[in-house]
Amino acid sequence: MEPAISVKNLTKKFQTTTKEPGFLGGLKSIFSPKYKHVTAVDRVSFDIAEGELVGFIGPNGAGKSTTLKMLTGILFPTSGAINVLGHNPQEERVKLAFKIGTIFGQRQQLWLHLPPIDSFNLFAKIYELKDSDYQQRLKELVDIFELEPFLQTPVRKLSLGERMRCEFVASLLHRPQVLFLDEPTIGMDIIAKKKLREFVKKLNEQEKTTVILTSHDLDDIEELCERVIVINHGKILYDGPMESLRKRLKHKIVEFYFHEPVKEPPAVAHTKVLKHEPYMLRLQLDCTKVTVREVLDRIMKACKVDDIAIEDPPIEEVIERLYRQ
Amino acid sequence: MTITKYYSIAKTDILEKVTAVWSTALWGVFIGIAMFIFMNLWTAIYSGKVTLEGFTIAQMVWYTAFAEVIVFSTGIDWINDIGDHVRTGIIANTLLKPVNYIGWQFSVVFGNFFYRWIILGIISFVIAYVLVGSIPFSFATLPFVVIAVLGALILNFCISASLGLLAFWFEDVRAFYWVYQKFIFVLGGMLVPIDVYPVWAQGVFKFLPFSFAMYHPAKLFVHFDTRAFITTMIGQLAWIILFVAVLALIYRAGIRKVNIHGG
Repeated sequence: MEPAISVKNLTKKFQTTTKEPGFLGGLKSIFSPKYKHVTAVDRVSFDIAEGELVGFIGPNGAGKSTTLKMLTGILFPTSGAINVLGHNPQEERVKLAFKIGTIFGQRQQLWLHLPPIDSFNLFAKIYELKDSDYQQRLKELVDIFELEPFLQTPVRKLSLGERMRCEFVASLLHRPQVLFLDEPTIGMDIIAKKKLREFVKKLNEQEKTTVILTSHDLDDIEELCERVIVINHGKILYDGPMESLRKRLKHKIVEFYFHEPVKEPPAVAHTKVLKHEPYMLRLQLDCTKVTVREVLDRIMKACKVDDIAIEDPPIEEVIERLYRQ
Repeated sequence: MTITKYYSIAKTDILEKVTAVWSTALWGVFIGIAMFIFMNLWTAIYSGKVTLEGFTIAQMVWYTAFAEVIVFSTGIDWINDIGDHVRTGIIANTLLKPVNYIGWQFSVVFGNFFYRWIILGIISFVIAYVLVGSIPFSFATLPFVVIAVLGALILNFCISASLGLLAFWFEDVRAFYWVYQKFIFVLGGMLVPIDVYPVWAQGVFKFLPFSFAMYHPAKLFVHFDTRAFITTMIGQLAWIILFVAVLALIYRAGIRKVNIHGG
């Protein structure tokens, strides 16, 4: 089956002017401007199959949003080829726009002084939806995203979470086959984030929508994506299952809760004490040299243990390691 | 389907503007003050004369009222709005939808034109009537005046949008706005009808695009003449064709330079 998105050697270079500080620097830049060339995306290639939910992660300025913007057709690549749902996004932007949905967490498409329903009605016309289809879809989405209570409230008076839910509805009215989500949870509280993740998951499962998600919040990616693409300095550092990325971790964290106070816990080779309190011990173990079982055996033989917790270290650590490489 | 789409854009924009109707009405207050000042100036300039270059003082005040409404309703401020869309990357919101950006902007301008005419037209014409009473006007000529005003709207939009889109290269287009505004005021005949300028200047100014976006339709309102109407139509059409081509060129070249900051 042809992939929903296919990218080959995609490159985007920007030219920016540089200016020396101060008044003289400003004058100089008028008469002899100096330019700096930045390669935001550097020969990036990947395919995304229909119905996949892919996480795109990287630090600020890594090139993830630039890639997304090229996939939607609003930025023109310097070189390389893009195919989204059989279209070249730059040459067939309008045709493609009927098939994709976009949410940019830092931009909004809703009309600020109007209630969301007015924007939805407009988008129904823009996407040329039949009135009966639109009404049915709107009802469906209003139920899923629980918008009923504020459908008539001006957008400017909504909370960020409510606003983002409205943005989702606006982007989903036309049943897009591919959804581009660029930092959709930025600035949201934990509850709102959790809800949005549930919505995205449901959408991907029920409607088989292909989703590409960029986020600084790795919890978003961990909870939603089976596949992840890590990008930095415009280059792909990793493209594969989230699980394999996790397996690159060389250590685990084990936490013991004691029945009675332990003054000096027994030393265990190839482990590091992260925290020790009379009733608690937190150890980091090097999985290449010692197994979790060995550590458990050693501690449980020496102390009376009430409870144990085993954790993988945060995914940030893996990413950090990849970035450093 | 396409027309419905653009009609809906215009309607939604008006809905949003109505939420701040007082700010448009405030322009009406400004027009009122400007007309009061002009009225006093013209009274001093006329100093007992019945006509000046074919205009009675009442016609002059009505010309000013009409010209003010044209300038506010066709809106040269779109230069800054479009420039901001480009500079801040808001243009991307439109480009991500199955619409034409220029078409979207024109729908907004067109919708605002009617909305502003209703509010500012009423305010200005009431003020003009209070200041100098009515002038002879045949309602049979009204459709022709409306056509000329719509021509001014389209011409002004093509020029404003072209200047606004220069933000792809210059980032800040406020200088272009400032210059264009002054051209409309002086060369376009907003401050005074072009007829009061020296003959050589009239010969030049009457053929520039600025006068077809302002002077010609305003003069048709106070002094309708079939020949003048035909001249206005030909002039507007010629300038519109030229500026549509310029706008298309700038848009095609500029859209490749879209640069959305962040991310």
